[in-house]
Amino acid sequence: EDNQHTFDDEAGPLTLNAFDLIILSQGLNLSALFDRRQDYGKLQNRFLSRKPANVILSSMEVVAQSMGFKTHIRNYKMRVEGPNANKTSHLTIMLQIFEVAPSIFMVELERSAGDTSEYNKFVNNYCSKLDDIIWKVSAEKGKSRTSRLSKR
Amino acid sequence: MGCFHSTATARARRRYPGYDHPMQLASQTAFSVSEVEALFELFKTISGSVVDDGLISKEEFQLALFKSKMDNIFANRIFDLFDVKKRGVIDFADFVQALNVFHPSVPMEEKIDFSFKLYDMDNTGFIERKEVKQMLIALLSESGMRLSDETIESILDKTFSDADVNQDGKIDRAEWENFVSRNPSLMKIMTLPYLKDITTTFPSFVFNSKVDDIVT
Repeated sequence: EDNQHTFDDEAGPLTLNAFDLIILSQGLNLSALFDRRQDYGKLQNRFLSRKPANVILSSMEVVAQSMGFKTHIRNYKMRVEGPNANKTSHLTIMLQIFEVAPSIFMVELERSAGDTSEYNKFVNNYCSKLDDIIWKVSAEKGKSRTSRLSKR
Repeated sequence: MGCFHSTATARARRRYPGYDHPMQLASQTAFSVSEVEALFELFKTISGSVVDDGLISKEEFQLALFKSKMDNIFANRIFDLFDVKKRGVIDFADFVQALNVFHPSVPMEEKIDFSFKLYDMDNTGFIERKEVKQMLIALLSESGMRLSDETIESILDKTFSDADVNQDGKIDRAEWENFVSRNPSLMKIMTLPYLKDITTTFPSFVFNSKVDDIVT
């Protein structure tokens, strides 16, 4: 069941427009006003990748499983679940791959269930193992290196 | 209309400028009286977090939203829209009236209106391409992501070819409504399902609607 990926059709990940991206901002999430959590930490994370979507998906699946989590995939959405580090509670994370531009993808991670600090620990650990698919764009060539040096 | 419980309200107004009685605010919004009372509990917490003056400052709003002081163009814009009287602070009546738009049972038309004003940062009556670019760059920066200017422009090209029907480089109110009807997920930020549960999340200490001493 875990190894069966269901794809509804030939289409790739959902494409996001500028506004789909804009509404991801924490500044537009007013539900936080009603949040009485004391454990302040993020509940959502995202990163970019230039790998093909199916490569992103399988890398994420392999890493999650190697960390001892169960995975369930449908189209380009993955649910990761398992017990936390000391087995005291359950953690569920949803991951989804989107296309933002041709060959540029964004992975959105969101805590679905579990402690905020456990979720944040998971994300740090998980993303450190996904180094080869995460696209960390260094400053644009020809620009920032010189400007960084001139700032003292 | 009339004055509900005038002495209690007058007392509350001294401590919370701009305060309106919950029955008054409930009659003007989708909220029930007990929901307005619950919102008042929330308002008291937020408005007292930095300076206990019964008003929400921009800093207090940021603290409530991000749990830390953070300058975010979207939160600042929302604050400005909540601050109807343009005084740099949000009073309780402003707070309830503004949150009303996010209530699940408020018509989509009002939500579309608010979202249009939200993105029309310079109040020209149009959502201009440069405004969308600015917002997109802010989102990327906030998320720790970077894209080349070329890629950002291509995202804007696609968005505008879809939304800007008359291709004049800006999105007008009608185009926005049309675009949103084809992309309904864009409106999910305009509804706070939590608003239906506020009486349990923020229990007020008033056990009936006869508010004699709402100021504690």
